[in-house]
Amino acid sequence: MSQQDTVSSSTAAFEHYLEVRNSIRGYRDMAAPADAFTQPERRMLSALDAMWDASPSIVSLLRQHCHPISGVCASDYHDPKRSLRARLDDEVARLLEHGDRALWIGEPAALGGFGIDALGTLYNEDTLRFFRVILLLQDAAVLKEFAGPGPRRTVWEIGGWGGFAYQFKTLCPNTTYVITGAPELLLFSAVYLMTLFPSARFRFYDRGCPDAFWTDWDAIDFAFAPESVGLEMQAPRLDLAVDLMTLERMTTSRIAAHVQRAHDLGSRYFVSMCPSGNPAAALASPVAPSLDRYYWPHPISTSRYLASALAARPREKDPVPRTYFLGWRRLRT
Amino acid sequence: MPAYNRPDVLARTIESLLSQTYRDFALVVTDDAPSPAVSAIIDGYARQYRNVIYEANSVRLGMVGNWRKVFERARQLYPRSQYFAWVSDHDVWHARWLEEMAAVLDANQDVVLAYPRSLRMEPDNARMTRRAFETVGITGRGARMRRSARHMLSGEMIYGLMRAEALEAAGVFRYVITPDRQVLLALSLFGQVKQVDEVLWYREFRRGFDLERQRGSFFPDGAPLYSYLPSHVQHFATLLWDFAVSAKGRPRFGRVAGLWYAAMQLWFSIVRDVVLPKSRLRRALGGLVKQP
Repeated sequence: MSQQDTVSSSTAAFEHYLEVRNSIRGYRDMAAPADAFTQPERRMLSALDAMWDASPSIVSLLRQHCHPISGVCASDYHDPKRSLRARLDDEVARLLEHGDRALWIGEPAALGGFGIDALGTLYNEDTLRFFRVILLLQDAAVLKEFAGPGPRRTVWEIGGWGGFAYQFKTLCPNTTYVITGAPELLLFSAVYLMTLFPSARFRFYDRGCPDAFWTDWDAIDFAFAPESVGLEMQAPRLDLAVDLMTLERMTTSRIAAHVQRAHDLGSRYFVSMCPSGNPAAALASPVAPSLDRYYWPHPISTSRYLASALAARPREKDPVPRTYFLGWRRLRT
Repeated sequence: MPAYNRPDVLARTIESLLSQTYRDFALVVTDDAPSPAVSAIIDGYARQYRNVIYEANSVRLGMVGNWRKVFERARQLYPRSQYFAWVSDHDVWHARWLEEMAAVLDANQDVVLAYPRSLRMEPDNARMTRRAFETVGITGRGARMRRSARHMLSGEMIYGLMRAEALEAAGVFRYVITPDRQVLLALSLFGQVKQVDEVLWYREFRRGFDLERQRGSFFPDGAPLYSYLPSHVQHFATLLWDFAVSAKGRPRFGRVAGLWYAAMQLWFSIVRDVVLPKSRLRRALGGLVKQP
């Protein structure tokens, strides 16, 4: 990316930031009361609070401020440790050996994108997580339904900073992608996606005319709404629900409400990166019980398959060892 | 679905079938080991889904008998249905399985069987199969028989979607060892086989092949003497009887051709066993035949 491109991208990003902030500021009043949040959620939201008054220079490096959301820190990649580089290189090699190379999408350099520079792109821990989910969907013969020429599909991502949405939407443009969550998270994902997809069609939930949000659904690429609206979602159809470490920060009742809503709307699949066991309450909530109640585990969603095919083994030294879950919808719960 | 006592996973299997994106189908279940647990599960779905039909066998028919019965009942209940598939009571089907298989049969009248690639479900693991077999584009019956006898994947193909009339003409399931292989060989005389290059069927893997277990489950009243003959000989006898003596291949092919195809089956199945590294023949010969 040339210096001129960088400046123009940064300018556009700040304009997007102002637009998004204006659209979603009101969502803060619609958020749950503070005592409905868990400790990990409160920690994350307070770390993101400064984004409400971000300067152009902060927005131009937006990606480097996502650390509280995914735990992946840009500074680790400025001069990456040998052990980190060796691990990621090994995992990338295994993933590319197993999966379709055409599905690989690196981290964009825009908005302060960072990572190990190889394969002609940047990649970091987040890039690999997203690629694993893509390969999981590919191995389960699910991705074809979204990437193919059939009817337009709807994907609902709960939270996130927009990185997975970028990968998914690049591979499957014929989808309407809804993101719900805390307004601080939407501030990241909406600005990120608006900058990377300048010609995409965006929609923000407007309290003044709530029904308009759900109309003409096929005409939009990305839609953003607060969590409370997500739980009352009225999308004409839902095909896939995505959670990448967002649900685990919620209370068990909010986790169940999200999974149930996806199920009620007929989402055939639910994919989640979530704790592999029973995490300490101060760190995360268990997500698996809610997923198991509403979704059958897909046959490839086994720990040995994930470890061998997707190089996804829960790391014991992680405070919260995580796994990947892909479920298909139960008819009876 | 010829069911036999799998209440532990039956709900998951039925839901995978009822979740098919292609909706115009019926699920006929004949239960050869009726129990309150199984009937409660199936009755529950039958109440909610009108396309689920459940019948418990009053006496045990054995596996071959039950597979035959479920085909006969499906034909009686849905005589206008063009396609038929056997489904197990313990595997899982991808939601697009029927849609994709029906599309293949709809698009190509020469194809009599469509089946996908599969994934082997093991406790806490899953393995994709990489093996491929099809006879698409092979118009000669002899060439299809030769290729099928040498290379076909009967354990996977038998759960494919078939043209019901062709299956009927092929003799459905016969009281022989490895009846799946026998009927698929017969079916090869009536049309081509297409493998869809997508993993859309998830197959439970529990135990390897066991002749004694087959005899026990096929013949609940005791195995007949002929079941101890080599399976290829049993298959040869049924093909000979059906197509050379009873002329069931007519009007497509006559008795002499039927005799020729039966002989081809025997010869190329023996060749397969000699060539196949893990064949029973090799094991029986105790290493007399050198590994390639």
